Amino acid sequence: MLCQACNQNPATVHVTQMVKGQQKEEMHLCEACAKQEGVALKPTLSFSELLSGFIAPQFADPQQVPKKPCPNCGITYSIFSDIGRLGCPNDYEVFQRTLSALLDKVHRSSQHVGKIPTRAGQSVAQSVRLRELEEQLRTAVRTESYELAAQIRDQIAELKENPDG
Amino acid sequence: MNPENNTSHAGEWMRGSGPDSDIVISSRIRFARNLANHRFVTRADRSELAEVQSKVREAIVKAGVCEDMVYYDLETATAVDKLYLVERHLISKEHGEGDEPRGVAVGKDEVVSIMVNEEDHLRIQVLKSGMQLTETWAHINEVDDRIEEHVEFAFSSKFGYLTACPTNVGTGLRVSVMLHLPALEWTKQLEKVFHAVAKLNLAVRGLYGEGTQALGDFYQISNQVTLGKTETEIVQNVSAVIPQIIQYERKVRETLLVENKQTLEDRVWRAFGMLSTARTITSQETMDLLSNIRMGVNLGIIDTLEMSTVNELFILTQPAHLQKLKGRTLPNTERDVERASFIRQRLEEG
Repeated sequence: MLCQACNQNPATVHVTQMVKGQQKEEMHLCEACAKQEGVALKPTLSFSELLSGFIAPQFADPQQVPKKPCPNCGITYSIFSDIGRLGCPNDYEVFQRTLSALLDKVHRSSQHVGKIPTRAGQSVAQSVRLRELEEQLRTAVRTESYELAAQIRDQIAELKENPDG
Repeated sequence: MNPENNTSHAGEWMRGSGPDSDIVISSRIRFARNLANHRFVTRADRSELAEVQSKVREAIVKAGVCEDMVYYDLETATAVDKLYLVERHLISKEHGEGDEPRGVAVGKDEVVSIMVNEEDHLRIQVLKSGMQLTETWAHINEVDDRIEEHVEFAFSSKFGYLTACPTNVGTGLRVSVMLHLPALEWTKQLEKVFHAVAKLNLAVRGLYGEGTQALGDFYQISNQVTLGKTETEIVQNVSAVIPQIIQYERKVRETLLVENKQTLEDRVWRAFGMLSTARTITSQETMDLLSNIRMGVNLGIIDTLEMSTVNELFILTQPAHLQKLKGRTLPNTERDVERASFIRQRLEEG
């Protein structure tokens, strides 16, 4: 069944209006038209919708939503925000900025500090270690622990100078 | 697929042993992992999913993850077999529902299991009896290392292990402890516990995970944050809150034993009476009554039953287990009769 309002999209929202307990009229709309008509959609607690709740507020301006699809799997950011699942590992690269903001909300962080696969190699381990130290340095400076900060700064310099050590 | 040989016993985690097993049923940790250079499950077509499945299967075999690993192909499995695996906590309900190439590798005693092509290419699980998070963590970390020697996981230095859903990204780690909290439920104090747990950014779920109802007073406490913390920190965060909940449940049980001894004993023995005599019984009622019996055994009110018997009954009386035991599909009413008969028999044996 097509949406009665736009006659284009499949009708997924079915509304029966009641006036003084009497059935008045049935409407079959697509989600977009239903929203326009001001029909309150039935609240479901699906995780993806919960996630969309997180995603939505930062895009008060729809222009900000990344438009370009991932060249590898073809998914767009708006498809992702509908289904709550990404299409391939490359999406994390393609939507990096937007995802970072989302992850900061969900996990209060957008930087992995856990396990590193040995395969990923020494270089990843080092860049992670470097970032850890830089974070520690920022904390040390913020808390005015200058002695500690100096130590960390030396460690950073050493790591940069001698990456294989 | 023929997961028949275990129909009369539950997995290792239902032994009812391990530290604090009066209240902690199991410690479970899972890793979400995906293969590099492949689309995630929801975006991959059948042929890619088949390719992923065969790569993962090969890696699991080569890695020699554990003894007697068996692979159940879910594409060809019957509905009862799939439900059977769900009831044993070896696959999720969602994993049983799809018809794309997918499966689960299950190790000896069902401690290690690996779902292939669920939401992520791999969902590695280690499940142990009682409060054993440290051991469970060490075990799963080793399994993960071994598999990683044979496949390349999708990983970025910024976001960590890349997962289909951003809620799992980073460590891909979910730590869950399943607790039996009948006294807190009975005295309506669970809300307080859940409130405190939520403040710590931990989630409370029912017996069968996300979105499931609490059955038999079982609750799972698990982490939500997977990024920006190390695996050890996440394990410790969950570990830290459990002893307090255990203390709270024990204290309420002791108080009940002192102040409401008769009511408590009555509740336990009535449950025992019902289960040892009923001629037809639903799964829901079974769970509720078993919950009281379990508490009764723990408090020494009933001393003729082994804890493992009670624990196993929670799993073995579920629909797919009963049907596998009988070797045929049973309609609901017949199932309830079979369930009642099975329970009577088991309780008599002790």
